[in-house]
Amino acid sequence: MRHDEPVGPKSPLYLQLRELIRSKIENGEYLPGTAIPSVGALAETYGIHRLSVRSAISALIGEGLLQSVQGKGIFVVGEKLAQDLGTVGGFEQTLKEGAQRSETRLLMKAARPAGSLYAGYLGCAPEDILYYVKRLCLLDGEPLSLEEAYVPRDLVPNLPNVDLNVFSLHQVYAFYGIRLVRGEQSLSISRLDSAEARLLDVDAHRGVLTLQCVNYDAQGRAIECTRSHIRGDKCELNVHFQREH
Amino acid sequence: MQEYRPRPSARARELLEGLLADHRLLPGDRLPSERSLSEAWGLSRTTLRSAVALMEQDGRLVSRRGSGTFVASEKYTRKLQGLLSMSQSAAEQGRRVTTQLLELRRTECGKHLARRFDQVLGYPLYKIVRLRSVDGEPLMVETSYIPARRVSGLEDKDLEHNSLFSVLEEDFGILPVQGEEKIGITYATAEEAELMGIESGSPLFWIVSMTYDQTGQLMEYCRAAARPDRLRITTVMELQAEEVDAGEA
Repeated sequence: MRHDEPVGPKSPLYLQLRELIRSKIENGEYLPGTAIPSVGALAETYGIHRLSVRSAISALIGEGLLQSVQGKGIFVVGEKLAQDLGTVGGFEQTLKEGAQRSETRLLMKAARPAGSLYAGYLGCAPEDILYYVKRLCLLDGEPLSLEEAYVPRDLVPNLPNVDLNVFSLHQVYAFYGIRLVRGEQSLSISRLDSAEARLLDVDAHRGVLTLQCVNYDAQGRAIECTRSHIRGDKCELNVHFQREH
Repeated sequence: MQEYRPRPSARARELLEGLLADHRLLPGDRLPSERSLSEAWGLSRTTLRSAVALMEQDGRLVSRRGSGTFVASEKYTRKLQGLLSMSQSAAEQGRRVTTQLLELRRTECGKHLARRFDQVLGYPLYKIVRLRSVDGEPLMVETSYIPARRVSGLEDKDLEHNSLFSVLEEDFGILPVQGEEKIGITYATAEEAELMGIESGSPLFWIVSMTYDQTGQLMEYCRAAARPDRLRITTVMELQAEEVDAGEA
């Protein structure tokens, strides 16, 4: 983070606003994953010119604290995103044809009790509250996979306010300084019920690849349990492995 | 934030899986009657019945006519990390692998295999087709290709009572060091269906694996069709160690 000279009453207005927004991010008034007030609203609140607001915001975008999302607004990023790191051993999805345009559609985001099944996977109590997120991934407009995630509410309390059409769950974890370093993955073939088969546009009896993962952070806490139902005609899973020494 | 309202079918499935997951019910145990579950969970019997039917197809439950629905035996788990042979990893799980040799002959590389082995057309290979069973139940049909020049005399080896990898290592000094696997879905051919005792057209894992030896050469190219109701494939994903350190510094 860049801190030049301290900002005082004589500093240019855009610098004062920049530091004001920064402090609101730091004290939690503007939460990671949520949009800050619009340029027009900030200009009006503080009685300054829109151009000054834009300069303040673009400086913070440059620092990686804010992110502008076209058509959606200016979002707080919080902790800087970890770069994509190399992994070993996990399944990777390989598309049968070259990937073109992928998109994700949020189907449901809700809080629910863990229940005995997910309490077991996540090592929590059955009555603990989890956030449940269900998304459909499409490729060139065609359904590719149906993805469900179960995350303990305490780990990501702000999730309800995060626009998951803008941020991925991994980005949300990064907002909380959580990095997934290890995942236990299990692959099976399962039959979907008719409603889910319709969402994925497959025949229910044909079966889909079901990848279940429990992912952990560096402290060994279970952060999420995910299940992806993947169309076998669109995609296969690829894994590299080595002899153990 | 939405209210969580699962469809009854999804709820039935989760509750049934929950019964199995926390070991309240063990393989071979009988499921409580449909009527008592439907009363306990407030789900219709039709909903429950279709969830049970899906879990039967997935190999988690077994129905026996007249006596009820039971928890199926644990699936055999194929762990991809570590490059254990199937016999080694079955032994770790307390399971017994049997192998029936269906075909063992010399063949020549066609275009596709020549490309895989980075050789010219006609490069000699052994083709080995085996039916692998776990605890007497057919699990998969495996077709392996191995460069013939490196394993001459392979036809004299007993590949029904020894694992292929142990023969390659002990008799030919070829050691598996790393590998790659691609897993998708295929549908049983009439022949696979008959060998594995399933209906033709039912979904199977389609596993294509390439294993490289200590010299970096492709030592085995293998295609397998496996019953998903008896097999689970697992792996562990880890961030590469040095990058974890760098990230935390």
